[in-house]
Amino acid sequence: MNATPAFRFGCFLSLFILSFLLFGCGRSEQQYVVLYASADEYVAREVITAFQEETGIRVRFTGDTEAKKTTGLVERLRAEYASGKPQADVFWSSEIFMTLDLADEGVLEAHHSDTTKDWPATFRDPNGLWYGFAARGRVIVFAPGRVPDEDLPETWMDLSRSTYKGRVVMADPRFGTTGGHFGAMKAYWDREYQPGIYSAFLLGLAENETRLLASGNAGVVRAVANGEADFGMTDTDDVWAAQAQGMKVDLIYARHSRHDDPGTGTLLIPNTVARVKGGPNPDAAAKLIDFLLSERVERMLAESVSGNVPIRRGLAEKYPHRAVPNPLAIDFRRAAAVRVEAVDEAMRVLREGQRGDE
Amino acid sequence: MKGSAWIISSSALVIWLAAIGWPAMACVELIVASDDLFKNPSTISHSTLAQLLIVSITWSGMVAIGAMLLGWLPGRLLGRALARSSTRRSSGLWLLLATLLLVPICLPAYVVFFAWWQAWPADSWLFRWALEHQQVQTVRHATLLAGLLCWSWPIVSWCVAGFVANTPVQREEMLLLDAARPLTRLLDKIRCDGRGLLLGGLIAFLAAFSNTTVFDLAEIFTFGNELRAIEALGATPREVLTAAAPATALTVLGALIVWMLLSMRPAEIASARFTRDGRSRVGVLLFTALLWLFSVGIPIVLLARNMRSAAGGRTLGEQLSEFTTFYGRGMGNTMVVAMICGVLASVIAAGLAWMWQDRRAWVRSAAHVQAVGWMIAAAVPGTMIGSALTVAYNRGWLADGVYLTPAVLVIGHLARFGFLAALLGRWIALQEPRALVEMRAMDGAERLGGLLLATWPRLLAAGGATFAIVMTMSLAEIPVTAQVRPPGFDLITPSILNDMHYQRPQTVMIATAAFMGVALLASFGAIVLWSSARRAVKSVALR
Repeated sequence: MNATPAFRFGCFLSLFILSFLLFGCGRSEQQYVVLYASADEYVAREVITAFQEETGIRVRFTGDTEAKKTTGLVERLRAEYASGKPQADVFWSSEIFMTLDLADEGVLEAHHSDTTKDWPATFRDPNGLWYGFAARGRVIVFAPGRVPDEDLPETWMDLSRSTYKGRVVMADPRFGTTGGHFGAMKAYWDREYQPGIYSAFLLGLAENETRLLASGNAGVVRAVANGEADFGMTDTDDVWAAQAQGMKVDLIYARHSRHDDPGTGTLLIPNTVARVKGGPNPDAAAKLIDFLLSERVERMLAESVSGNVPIRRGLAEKYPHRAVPNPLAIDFRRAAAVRVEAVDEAMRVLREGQRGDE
Repeated sequence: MKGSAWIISSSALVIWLAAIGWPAMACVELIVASDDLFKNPSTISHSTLAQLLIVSITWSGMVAIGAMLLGWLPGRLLGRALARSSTRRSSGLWLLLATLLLVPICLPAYVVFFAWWQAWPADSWLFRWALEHQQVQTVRHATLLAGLLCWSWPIVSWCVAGFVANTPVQREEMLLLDAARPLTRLLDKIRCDGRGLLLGGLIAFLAAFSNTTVFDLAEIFTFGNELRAIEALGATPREVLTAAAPATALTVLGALIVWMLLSMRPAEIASARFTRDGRSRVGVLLFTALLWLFSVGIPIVLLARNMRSAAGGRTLGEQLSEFTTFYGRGMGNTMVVAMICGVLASVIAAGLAWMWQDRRAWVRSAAHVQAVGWMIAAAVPGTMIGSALTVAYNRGWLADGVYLTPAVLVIGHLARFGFLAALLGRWIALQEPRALVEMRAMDGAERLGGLLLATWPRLLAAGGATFAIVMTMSLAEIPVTAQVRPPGFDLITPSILNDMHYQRPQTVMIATAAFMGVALLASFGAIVLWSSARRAVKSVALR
């Protein structure tokens, strides 16, 4: 065909306009719900498929990158809220602290249903703005066989002892659960013991040349498995995932107190689910929230590579290998309130420590 | 521009308004309103920022210098081949060389690094040695440097080639006849290729400076990582922009230098009549082949090996099937978005090029304004662009028409990489021989049809190059993609990054193979188009 350049150019542009239209028309009239989820994509997709099969409601899913943890989605929720047109219906976070921030900022809306009626008070907002489920624990990872038993720490404070100098790694506390854990430590120690313990703990970590890793909790487990460090602060799900990949690592449920009193043990960080205020599909959102809070999903998450701990007592007993002994009794709101302060202090002290070493 | 030719320039303007103009206005609105929106204003440590800025500059500088050293000789080889491509001699070599040298640029830098990183797993002798001597971090840094060099040297080669192709080969011959010492000849070569080297080095510097993904994987805290952390702790957009100011200034300065280097018109047109072949050329060819092997060949082999070891007894077919089920749609979507970005970028390049060749000052000024806008956008942190797009498009009918469709991704990617199109447009405008511009005007290229008829080969070639580069940059884009991808619209790029973190090499490998295929096709297509256009244009210019 002897097409003129103008004709070819026109075809060119038309093709693109058509492409755009095709994208736009890809949305069917079928009922749908928009889910923003920071849980591992592999796990989240399995749950979504189950929900779609059970209800016939299509889930439009948006995940986060591992590098930004939950912060990417939180920034997006804030930006959409600021622009006055929220696009998400449901927010499923793999942690709790940023959900609390969003609740305070007015980004979330209350949800009440039969499922949430008797939800444990520790894992719910008094006004129904969020609900916690399928938790994971903050633990110390180590490589069995490489570290003598007498060297194993029993408490988090132990990591500030000189025995552990140059042997500990942790993720950047500004992202992910590490920051929330530091907030919890500050809130708990300042209230249950005396102000200043958290600062002393940080100084100890700095003097011990504790290394910050940019690659998150998974990087911490990898560093320990590879022998770059003896101990690392991480989450249970990262340890289970590493074990599933054949890495020789184990975990310690470290306490937050010198004495083994009830409620002083491991910090449990639940997944949280919340309804986004002004989301476009409130009915479908309610169904999805109830589904995520169902026993079926807790079972799926307990059996998944994440190995989450069910918060339903009866169900938790069926997964004793995932059980966390003596969970820390903590007010999550207080921890969230001091999180940024705690993280700022941690960064300042740890970085000054690094400069001092140099 | 009279007649209907304004359509091309207007298209470029519309894209600019969509990607830069409108979001910039929204961004101003966001900055003004932001202080009341967020709680948790973060403490920003300026001494830390300064320290991390030095780290970023040091790394980017090392990458730039290394890329200049490695990419120079292959660039000279490519430049000579490019000069001779207007004749029938050696055009096969030019095609092969040019295609191969485009492929490494088209691969995301983090994929090349990841492949090399996987070359020394925990049970390897190198890792054991490094662990024993407490040098794991050093080896990791060396791997990162190697990965970034493998990715960046072809950028320098291309820039050098562009200048070498316009340098008369007789100059070297005359120095030889004059029995000039090797050092004198080397200095002369540096003098001739200096601008190309500097240009390539600057582009490599800017590319490394804006990359955060590879540094995260290598456990290096950089300026970009710090900005992201500041945002994560609830800093307002105003605080983020203030904190990013040094990097923004550096990027704008770099872009301006690149601009000036591109703006220099070639003094002479190269003659392809006489070149010296021999052992030195064979040596350079071997050196180039070796570099390519390290940049593309070996990483692919390493990834394939890891994929096999991570297969857990599954066949390749089973792995492919699993990949397709889980990521197939994401892969397809990513490719389509990237292709649309590539095409629209070539429209930007063509539109701006026409505007710069216009005789009227105000039209040229309008092109300048657009180009400056593209460059400033390139210097703004990616997450800021994401927030600006949300504020700009998540409103009224724009939400359903743009924000909830992949169009917002295309706009976001263009906001990040449109500066490349602007730079290429500038190059196209200034490298075209003045005689051709005049002839085009005489041919009545004021109507769109006439304009396209007069410029089709050059437009096709330049558009092809812009398409290939922007498309591949878009394939690897993370920050904006993560922030504005429409709900339910799967994309492969964030998944690859997650799988790197979780050490699932099989996904990375299959996706890389797909990237590689696209890169090869895009490179080959662009080179064939460029080559045919160059021959056509050159034969006119030399007549």
